[in-house]
Amino acid sequence: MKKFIFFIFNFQFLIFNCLYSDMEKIAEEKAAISYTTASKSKKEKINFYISKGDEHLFRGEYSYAIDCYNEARTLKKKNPNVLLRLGESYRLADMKEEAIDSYNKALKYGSKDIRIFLGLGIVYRAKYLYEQAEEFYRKASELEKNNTMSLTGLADIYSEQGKYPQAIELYKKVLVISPTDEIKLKLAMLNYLDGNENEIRKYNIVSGYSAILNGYLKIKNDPDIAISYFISADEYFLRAIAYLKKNKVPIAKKCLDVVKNEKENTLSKKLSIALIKHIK
Amino acid sequence: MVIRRWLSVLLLTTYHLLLTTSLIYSQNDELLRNLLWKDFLALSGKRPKIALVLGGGGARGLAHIGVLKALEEKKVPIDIIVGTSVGALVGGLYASGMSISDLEKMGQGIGWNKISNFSAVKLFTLITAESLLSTEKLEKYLKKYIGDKNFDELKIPFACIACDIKTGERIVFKDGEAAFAMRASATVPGVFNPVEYRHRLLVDGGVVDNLPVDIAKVMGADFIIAVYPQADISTYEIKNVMTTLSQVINLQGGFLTEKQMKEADFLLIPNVKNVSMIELDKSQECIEAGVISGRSKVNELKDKILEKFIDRIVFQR
Repeated sequence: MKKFIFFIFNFQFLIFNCLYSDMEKIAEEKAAISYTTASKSKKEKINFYISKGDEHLFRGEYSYAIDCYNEARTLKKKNPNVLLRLGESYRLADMKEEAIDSYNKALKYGSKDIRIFLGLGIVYRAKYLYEQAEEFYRKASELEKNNTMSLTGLADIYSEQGKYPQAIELYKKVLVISPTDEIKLKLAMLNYLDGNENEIRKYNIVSGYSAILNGYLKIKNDPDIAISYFISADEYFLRAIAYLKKNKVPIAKKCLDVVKNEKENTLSKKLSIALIKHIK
Repeated sequence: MVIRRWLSVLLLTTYHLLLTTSLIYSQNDELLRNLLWKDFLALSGKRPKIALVLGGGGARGLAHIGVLKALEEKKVPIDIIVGTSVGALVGGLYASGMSISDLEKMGQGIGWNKISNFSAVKLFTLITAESLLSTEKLEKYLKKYIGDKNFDELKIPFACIACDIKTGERIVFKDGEAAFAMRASATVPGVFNPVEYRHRLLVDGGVVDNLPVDIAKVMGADFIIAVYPQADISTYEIKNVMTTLSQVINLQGGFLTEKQMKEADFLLIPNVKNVSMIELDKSQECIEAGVISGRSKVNELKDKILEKFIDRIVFQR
């Protein structure tokens, strides 16, 4: 109990200090800005607000960045450069509608920056509107053929829509341009989902996620090897399945208990709880 | 001052650490879900039957098209479909084998003049002389897509609900000509003429059962997904016969569905904002609402299905 009270007290103290520090910081900055911009021309003021906004955006302080860019926008409304940055800040602050509006205005005022199309693709994907997202990712990849972000975005959209062959083709392109373990795993998974199990070996990689995939593929034919793949507590659900395949029910139950007692409410935990009920 | 800044950094670092951990867990979940889902689908003959129950709601019900699209792209199999009113129309067409893209096109081009003998003159006589509209055109419209197919000729087992307006009985259509049953199920009382059927007068099934979850159970469903598009009906203006009647149907439908919703294993409620049941011109908004609802919930749905049938996947029984 004492520990709990101590923790609560300290946590509140921490929050208070951070908020107080932030408030002080805002006041300091406002004073500095009004002092700095007082004698500047309109163009200089815009550039000043943009660079200030960029600093905040770089540090992940999206609301401050939005304030700065909006200040720049009040000085010149049809500024695609500012609107693009505003769109980026809104997107990163998860203000989807505002981001779409800013990006669209940037397009309207003549910008053809690839970041606008990529940003719109990301926002529409987050809104689950894959058709619109696809359109913008496509436009981005038309602007820059080998842009991995647009190709990966497009491939992700196809994957979400269950169009696995198209997604595989695009990920293969990405793999040539920038070979990463993440793309290899995606290719392995999509090939598995599309029924091309022979292709999976091509993208065999060593990482925690591929251990799940490779181990799972072994469960049916070679549960002993599968067991060796599943090491972390979160993977103990799959370890339990492998033991069940070997008819070693008590060990399987122990594995399920481990996952059941995990703090995080993961799918493994939910499935472990459900499976325990079926094991006598 | 410096200490406060450091505390800020510490708090942010902790936050990012927690975020990264949850990201790793969600990636693991995604991987596990995909692997198990493939095995669930591979159960084929032994696979539990998933039913989709599509509720009524007039124009709002076009959201069903969006939901079907989301389920299809995420490979959620539909083994049984039950529908009321617009749910019967969308469900019946899908059960007949109509593709999602064709359904979308049809939904986008739908209008009152296509499904009834609606015209300015007819609307005037409806209000002044209480002459109801006919749904004969609706049946012809449906037949254009599914022909004279009977229920047993449909690709997915299907049932729909109508109501005998004389007795208040719930009529469950599971055999006979599908287009006729779908038409009867969507015959909104007070607007359309009741449909004659074996000495009965049939109207929209939503009068007695706007979300027939229990019928899906009777048809052998092991897992039931219910879809009931909802709008904020308190914002509607009540200004004439049509809007008053549609509001009454909204309220009554809400009460009738409460119990049935609890019986479903999974509930999808597309948010169609303030689209009323007569605004067929807002079909695109409704379809989009269905797509968003389906896509945003499909992983949760798959997890529920996997949880319920994990023993069958593991023990292949």
